[in-house]
Amino acid sequence: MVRILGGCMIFSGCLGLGLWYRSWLLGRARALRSLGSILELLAGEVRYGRATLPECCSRTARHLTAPFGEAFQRIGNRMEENTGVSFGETFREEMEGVLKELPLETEDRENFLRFTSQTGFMDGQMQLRAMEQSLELLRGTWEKLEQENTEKCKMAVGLGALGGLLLILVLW
Amino acid sequence: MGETILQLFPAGHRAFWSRTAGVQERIQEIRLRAGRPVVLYMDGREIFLTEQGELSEFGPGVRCMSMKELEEILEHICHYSPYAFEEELRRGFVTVAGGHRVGVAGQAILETDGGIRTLKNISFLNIRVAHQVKGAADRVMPEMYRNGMLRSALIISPPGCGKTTLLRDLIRQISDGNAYGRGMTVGVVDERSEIAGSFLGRPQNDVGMRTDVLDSCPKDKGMLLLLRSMSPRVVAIDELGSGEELKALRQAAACGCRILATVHGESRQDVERRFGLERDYWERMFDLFFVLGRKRQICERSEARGQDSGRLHDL
Repeated sequence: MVRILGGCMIFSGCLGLGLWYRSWLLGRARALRSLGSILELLAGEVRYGRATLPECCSRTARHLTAPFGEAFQRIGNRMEENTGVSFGETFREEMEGVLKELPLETEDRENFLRFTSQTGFMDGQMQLRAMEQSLELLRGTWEKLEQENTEKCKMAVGLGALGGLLLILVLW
Repeated sequence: MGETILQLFPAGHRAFWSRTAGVQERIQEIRLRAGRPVVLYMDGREIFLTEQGELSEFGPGVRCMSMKELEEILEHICHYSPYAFEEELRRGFVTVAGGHRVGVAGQAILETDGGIRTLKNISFLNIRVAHQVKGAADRVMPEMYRNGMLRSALIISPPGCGKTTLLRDLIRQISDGNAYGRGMTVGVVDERSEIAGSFLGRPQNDVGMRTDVLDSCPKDKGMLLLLRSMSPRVVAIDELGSGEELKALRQAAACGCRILATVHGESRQDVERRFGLERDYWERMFDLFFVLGRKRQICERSEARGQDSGRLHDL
């Protein structure tokens, strides 16, 4: 009885590990899509509202859910306080905490934050281009992930289950 | 006003400018030129800054601004988004929080038709420190009303004699209400952001609680827009300049609005000559005419259909 119970626990543990990895893969693609939508909203504010970057953050905050909404509002508020810290630094400081909580690679985070180091353009088109570059990099990653995810997810769950079974057989 | 000029500078520059910010009330202008010493115009004199940010007469060890520092300051002033200030940069100045105006000069990029598209390599900044003089219109307020009714007024003055200061305080007092009349809705068309000193659409100067400001809009179009949208009882504009503006002003007067306006000139005759319009034309639109002198005084005051000149008021 104890053996059977132990076997079930090993199996469910390994299967859980596979499912967790699957959810991480799907979560990463979802998070990348969310970041892409945020960049599109910011670009829209620049394109149609000619808004400054801090203004873009305050306005975009209204359309975002937690935790992005709060973070963007904090960026807007901090810039309005005018403590002298640059937009890039403020944006990085506030967003790094939020991004750490998401299932993202370091490269994804850097791709998202890349546009904050490209400010000070006289031409709005140039600022838009900087945002679009960040967006293109994120899009490239999530499209690649989505192509591979079906296979990877199946493999993760399958490997988890089979690994569990193998472990049970070895330990039996 | 506090030390609002400190907010014009990024964090890394603030320690250097803190001494200057302490004497902000006495500063008229701060001139920053790439590779040249920082010059303050203070109490009518030129003052330089040392490497430590101390005020000094010219001598060795005065601080020069580098191009990089100027770029950082301009970027900070423009909220790291100079593209959003494209129109302002094209006009040559940006109004910032606190109502200060930052004039810029550098290399102009021209459109095919010869118009200025934008400026690049901005190497010269002129920070004009805002000083709102509350009470500047106290002496003229009794004359602005007759039997409790506000009268339209034209302020005539050469540049730099305080006509915008007088207009701004008139607007504030008329809007808030005063000992001579109740508060009235005032519509201000502030084409050059000089009256309200608007920053991102919000007035930085106190222009009264019943004042609606249309910022950065051509005066002729703005007056008609305000008439349609905000139904002001008083319309105020600074530096009347073209026939179109005069036409719009006349339309506002015909709608029953009181008019407050300023115009460059030395005298009424000078203004009449410049616009090529007879005395009657002006008197149909304005009840009062104030002519300001070089010493920030009202050196002539006259009423429509009557002359009462020679009364002096300090502003």
